[in-house]
Amino acid sequence: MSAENQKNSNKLSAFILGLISIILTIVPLPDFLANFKPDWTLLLLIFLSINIPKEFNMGTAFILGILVDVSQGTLLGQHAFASLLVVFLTSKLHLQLRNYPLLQLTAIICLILMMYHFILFWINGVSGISSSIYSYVGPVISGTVLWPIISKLLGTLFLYSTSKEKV
Amino acid sequence: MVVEKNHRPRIPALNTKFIVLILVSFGLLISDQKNNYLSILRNSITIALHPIQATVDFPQRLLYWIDNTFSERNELIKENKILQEERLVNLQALQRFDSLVQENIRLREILNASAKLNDNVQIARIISADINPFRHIIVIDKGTQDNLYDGQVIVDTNGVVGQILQTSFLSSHAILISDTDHALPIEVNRNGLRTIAQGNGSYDRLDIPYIPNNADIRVGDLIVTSGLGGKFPAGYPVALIDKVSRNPSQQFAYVSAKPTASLNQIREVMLIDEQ
Repeated sequence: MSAENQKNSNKLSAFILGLISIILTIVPLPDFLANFKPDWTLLLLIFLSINIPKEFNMGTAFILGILVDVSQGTLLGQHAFASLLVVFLTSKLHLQLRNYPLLQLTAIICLILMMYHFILFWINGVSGISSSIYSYVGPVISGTVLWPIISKLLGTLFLYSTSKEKV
Repeated sequence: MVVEKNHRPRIPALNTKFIVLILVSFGLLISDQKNNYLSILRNSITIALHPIQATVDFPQRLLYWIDNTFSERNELIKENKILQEERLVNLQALQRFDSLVQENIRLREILNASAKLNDNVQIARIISADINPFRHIIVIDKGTQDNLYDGQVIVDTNGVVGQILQTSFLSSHAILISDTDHALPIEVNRNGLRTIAQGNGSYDRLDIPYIPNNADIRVGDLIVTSGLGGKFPAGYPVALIDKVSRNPSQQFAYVSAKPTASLNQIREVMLIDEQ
C-alpha cells in the first residue's frame, strides 16, 4: 500500500472514531455510573497523537474539544483548552511514550488524565462553578482502567508507516 | 557523524498551530464567561449535533414504545380505572376551583392588583439528562421553532423544575432548580415569609440559606414561588421544608427542603408561556 493511501485510510478511521467518541460522550449512563464516564474524546486524541503523529493535527483536538463543550453545556473552549494542552504534551513526547511498555504507559496516562481534570477543575473554579470531587476523580479511574483495552483495540485499526522497532 | 534527518518523523508546524488554537480557546473561554456574544456560535454547533443526539436517544424511545405497545391488557384496564377515578375527583375539585377563581378575581379587584391566573402551557420531552456531572442541566426537544425563549419557566405536575438557559432552533438547554448556580425567590405558603432557595447539586435537596434564627419556619411547610424577581410566576409549589436546625452561635438557621418535583425522574415537562 502506498504512503498516500495509508494516510487517507488512517484519516478516515480517525474521523469515524471521532464521531463515535462524541456519540459515546453524549450517551447517558445510569446514575451510579454517571460520575465514571471516561473522557472518550481525550483518550482517542492521546492515542492518535502518540501513534500516528505525522497525520495528527492540533485542529482535531480543538474541534473535538469544542464539540464536547457544546454537547455538555460547559464553558465554550474549556475542554478544547485542556485537550490542546494535553495533546501538545503527548505529541512532543510521542517518541518516548510509544516505546514504553503498556503498564508504564497506562500509569502515565493516569497522570495525564489527572492533569486534564485539574485544568477543568481550575477553569470551573475561576468561573465559580463548584461540584463534587467524584466528578473529577471518576473519569480518571475509568479512563486509566480502559486505556489498555482502548489502545489494543485502536492499535489493530491503524496502519503504521514505520514499525515501532524501526523508529 | 551526520544526523539522518529524514528518518525522524516530522510533525509539521505543531508549535504555531498549537499557540494559535490555545489562544483562540482561551479567548472563547473568557468571552463565553463574561457575556453572551457566543450564543449564535453555540446554537449553530448545537443544531449540527442534533442528529447525533436524536440517534443516541432513539434506543431509549424504542424501549419506551415497546413497553407501551405490549403492556398487558389487564394492566391497561386497571390503569384506565384509576385514571377515571382520578378524573372524577379532579372534576369535583375543579367545580370549587371555578368559584374560587371568580372570588379571587373579585378580591384582587378590590385590592387593585392585576389578576393573572391563566398561563399558556406547552409540553416538552427531555432528550438527555446527565450531560454534565458538574451541572444539573437537561436538554429538551423544543426550541425557538416552538416559540420557546430564554428564561422560560419549566414545571412538572408537582412543582417547579427549572428554567430555560439557552434556546436553539430544535432543542433547548434548561437549568434545574437543584443546580449549584441556581437560586429562586420563594415564600413560605403558610405565612408568606420571603426568602431565596438555592440548589446544592443534589437532586433531592434545596438549601434555604438566609433564614434568621427566630423566623417562623417549620418542618413540613410548603414553599412556593413568590413571583418577586420577575422570572418565575407566583404561587407554584417548589419544595417541602424537611430540616430546620437553629444554632444560636450562627447568624442564620440551617434550613433545607425537598423539591416537590422529582427532578431526576421526570420524562415530560411543562413550559409556562408568560409572554
